[in-house]
Amino acid sequence: MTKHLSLLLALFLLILFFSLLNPLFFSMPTIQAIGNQIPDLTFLAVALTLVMITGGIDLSVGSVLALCSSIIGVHMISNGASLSEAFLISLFGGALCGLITGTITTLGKIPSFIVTLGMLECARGVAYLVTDSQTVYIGSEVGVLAESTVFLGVSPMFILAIVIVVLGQLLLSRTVYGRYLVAIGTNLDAVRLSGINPTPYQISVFIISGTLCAFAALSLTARLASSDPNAAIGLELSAIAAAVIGGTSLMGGRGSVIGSFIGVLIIAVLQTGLASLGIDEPTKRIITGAVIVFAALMDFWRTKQLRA
Amino acid sequence: MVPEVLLTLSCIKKSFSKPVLNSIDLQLNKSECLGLLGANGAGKSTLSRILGGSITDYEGEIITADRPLRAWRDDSPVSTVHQELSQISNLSIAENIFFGRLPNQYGVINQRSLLESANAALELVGLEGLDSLKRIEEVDLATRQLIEIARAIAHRSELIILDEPTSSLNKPEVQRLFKQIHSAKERKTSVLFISHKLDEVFAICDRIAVLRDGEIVLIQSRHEFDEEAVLSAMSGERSAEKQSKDRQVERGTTSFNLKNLRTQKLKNFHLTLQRGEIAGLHGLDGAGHKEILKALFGLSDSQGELTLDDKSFKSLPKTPHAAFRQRIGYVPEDRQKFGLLLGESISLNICLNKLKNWLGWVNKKETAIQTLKAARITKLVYEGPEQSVSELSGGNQQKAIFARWLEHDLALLLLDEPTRGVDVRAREELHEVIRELASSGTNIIIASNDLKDLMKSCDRIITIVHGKTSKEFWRESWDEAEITTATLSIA
Amino acid sequence: MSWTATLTSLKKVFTLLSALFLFSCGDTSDSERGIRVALVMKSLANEFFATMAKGAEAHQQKMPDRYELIINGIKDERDLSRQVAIVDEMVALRVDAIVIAPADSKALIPALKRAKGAGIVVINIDNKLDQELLAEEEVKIPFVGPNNLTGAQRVGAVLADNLSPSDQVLMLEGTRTSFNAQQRARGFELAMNEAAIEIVDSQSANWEMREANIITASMLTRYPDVKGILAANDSMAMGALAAVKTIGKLDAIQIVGFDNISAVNQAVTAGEILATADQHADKLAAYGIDYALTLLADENAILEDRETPVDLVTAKDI
Repeated sequence: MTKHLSLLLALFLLILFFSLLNPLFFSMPTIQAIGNQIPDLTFLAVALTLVMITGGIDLSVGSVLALCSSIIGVHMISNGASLSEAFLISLFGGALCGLITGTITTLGKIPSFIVTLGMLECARGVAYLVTDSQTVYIGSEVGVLAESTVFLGVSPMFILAIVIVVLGQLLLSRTVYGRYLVAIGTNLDAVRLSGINPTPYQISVFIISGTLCAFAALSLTARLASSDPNAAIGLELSAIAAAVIGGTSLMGGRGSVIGSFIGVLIIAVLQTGLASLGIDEPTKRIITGAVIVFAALMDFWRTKQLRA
Repeated sequence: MVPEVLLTLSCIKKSFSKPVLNSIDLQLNKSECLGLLGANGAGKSTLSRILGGSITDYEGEIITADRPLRAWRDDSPVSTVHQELSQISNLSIAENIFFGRLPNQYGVINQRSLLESANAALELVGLEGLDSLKRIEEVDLATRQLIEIARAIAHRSELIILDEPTSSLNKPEVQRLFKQIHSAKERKTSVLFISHKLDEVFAICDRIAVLRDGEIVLIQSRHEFDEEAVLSAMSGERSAEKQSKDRQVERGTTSFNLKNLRTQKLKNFHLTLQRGEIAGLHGLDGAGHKEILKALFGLSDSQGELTLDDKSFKSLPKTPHAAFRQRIGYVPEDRQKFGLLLGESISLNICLNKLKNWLGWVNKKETAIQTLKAARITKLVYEGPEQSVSELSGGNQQKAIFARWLEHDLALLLLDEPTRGVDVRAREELHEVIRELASSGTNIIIASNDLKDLMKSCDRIITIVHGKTSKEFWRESWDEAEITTATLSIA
Repeated sequence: MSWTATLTSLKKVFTLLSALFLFSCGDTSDSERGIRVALVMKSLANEFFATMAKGAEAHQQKMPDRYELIINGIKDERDLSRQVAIVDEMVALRVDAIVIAPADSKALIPALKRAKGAGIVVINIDNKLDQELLAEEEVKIPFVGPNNLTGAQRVGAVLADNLSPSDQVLMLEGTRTSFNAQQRARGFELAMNEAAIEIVDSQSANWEMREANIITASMLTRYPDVKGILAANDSMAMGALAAVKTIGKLDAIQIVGFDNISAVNQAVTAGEILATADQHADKLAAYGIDYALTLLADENAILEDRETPVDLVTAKDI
């Protein structure tokens, strides 16, 4: 945890800053509003962290999310399936997208950047196809998952997101699988030459990413109470930003799930805080961009200090 | 005649987390080749980095041509040829030689002048005829090292630091390098020659300085050279170089049999080993001895049949993973690029292929115990299992990679230049590990250009010429000169 | 490691943020408890919505004592999830009224229902919410805005007057999930059917100029005899205009748009675009805010839709 102190401090200062400017900012409803909107980005940030640690990237997460969301909506409304049944199928769909990108990028030895960029287009296209380019309204059957009144003032999706963050961190730092992901991102050749076959790990990390997209889809679908084939355009960039703010390296080998989660919180607090002040759009974007770069810089300085 | 002084070091001190250099006073003369000796961690590389200009925050002063060395910038009269080559692999040989001062007009590179000067520089190190437009990653390590030396010469440096320059060179190449050192001296250039190989240092240097624990403990001029004194100065005790014990090889129990190995370079190569035998493969660069290791570890397209222990022949493994399942291990030549997980912990580096059950938790206690055990066997010096492997010296990093292959009950261990860039003491310790592994029944094949080193650990040395066995030599009856001759042609 | 260094760097971030903040919006910290109205827009990068926001600001400036205005937009027309988040955040901030131009006719309804549940007055402007779903969810949200169907029908009629029956035309639709896009497409279709003109191809360019340009260019190679283009908003009309200019068919193809943004207004004057419709963007949000203020003042007011005028803009009107 100590290595995330500077990030937590940045988060704290951000909250303090907005609370000073708007006394209504630091209140239970605002915190609930933030807690309610972060699960989808959190799932994607965990997915990106795991993929980026192996030295890859997954640009398709936003589109795969939209596809999974479309599957949930269409299956529930057109086919009359139950939520759990529809979610199960979307999990399968997300995993399949991951299997496809993972297999092509690993066995074909093609950079994941380009393969997932292709999947970004394909998955979005299939999402339009599945929904006939229409928003599918589902209603409270799924909406209840995003309601913060269900349990202890937080939504079920928020709890699930926290569970995934904890599991993701444990997977990365405590399991053999996680150590292999780090080792692959650090030096793929060394892993291969020590007699380990990296292929299953490289493919499976994309499957995990695709599966997490389905979780994110569930969360977004719940929040909108509908499936939107246009959902999450550009959200992959926010997820990458969250991961990088949290100290995940784009070159692979370094990063933590907890750090990425704090990155998500920083982005969400910033977004909500700026909205609560009603600042005009250009300034909002300039501030958001500056804070992302500053947060990443701070983490960089701190790691450098820790090394010296 | 009093020699002309090139550079004076006075009271140089430097510490990182602990003191590394304690008040070094040293003089370097023009046209002189000074040998710098010392065990790993003695401060050799820190001193060479200070001279090379990559460390500037040191105490004390270095004066050259009436100016402190610190005041020089890009025009520093010192060039360093690093032990771990630091070339830009995607650029051409010519661009690498002149990188930083490429001949250009308004930013456009003058290709003709670049090629001409590059070829001239290559000629100086005996690499005439090498296509300088080739990308640097397409040439082998030995040539790359010579190119680095060409770069230093081309920059008209007054002092060239050679850090372990011969570790990847074979004998004729070493002779060629020595010729270059002589001609550099004739041009009034000085050379700082850092090496572990005493015989080479004695052969080329005018003076030697021995570093131990950050201090200069011995300086000798050519006429005073004394191997015994140097060794004890380096280790701080009486020379402890152990003679290789007489080892028992069970003649007659074949436990490794390779038939009809064919790759691009190799034509029908055969090899049989007795149980626990250490075999050395020796040859000129590109002779094919390294390819044999790669083929056995599933790293190249190859055909052939192999049996380990049992009687049935199988085809060669297609991937390193398959090789590992047949209980074959491999220590690559370039440990930084292909061996280590730099920045990761020592325990992950050692236990990388010992972690079983990928779904399970990493048992920190168990990996720490395994690390400790492996470290004890290899005499690895480290602070703790979570220490970053990047902080280890070259010798200890190599031990960590050896440690990775311990406790696997291997049938065969393949070693590519296992002692390259490793100091005398660590080298002895690695030889000891190799011998112990062999006596526990693991067959070992070492491919190396360093004949002296092979002669220390091997029971048999096989020379390879143009992808074929040229001759075999057994420990009882070998002769260094004969082996070297055998690498040159098929008699 | 040194904590002081970290603290210093944090201080720098803090100072910079404050500077940026002060630079952008002088005073918000005071005025504790007046009426607060949140205007939730679609993309403020789109001139139409930017004009709408400016109109709202001007409206507020005229009566600064009456209410306080918080304007928020999303980064593009389709960033639905962010718009839902903004609504939730405004509820959390306990604003008195929300005036919203919804990015989607259905998906915003649950969030707006929550807002109503929290006692907030909600007014729907610009893009009409799905009436069936509102009825199903038993929420009443009044709509203040133009009738897009009749507006589009009138613009379409101008094009029809300039063409002859059985001519071919193309249609560029907005994002198909939005009600506005559906209404305008429907209006165009009605006008064309009436004049017996054939719509040979219709695709969505997602309200965007760049996308419209690419789509139009490819449609024109497939249907070289096309005489007219119906664009569901002016950005797409501009994109289509550029594509037509590129192949030098400006004289042969007539274009109509919707919204009357300034660039199109100029193009209409120059005779490059035939007609567009003015929904009086600058007043749209103001109408909504006025209605919200009325409802806040009078708890017993009846919730009903209010239609705002749509005016045709052609060369002779200017």
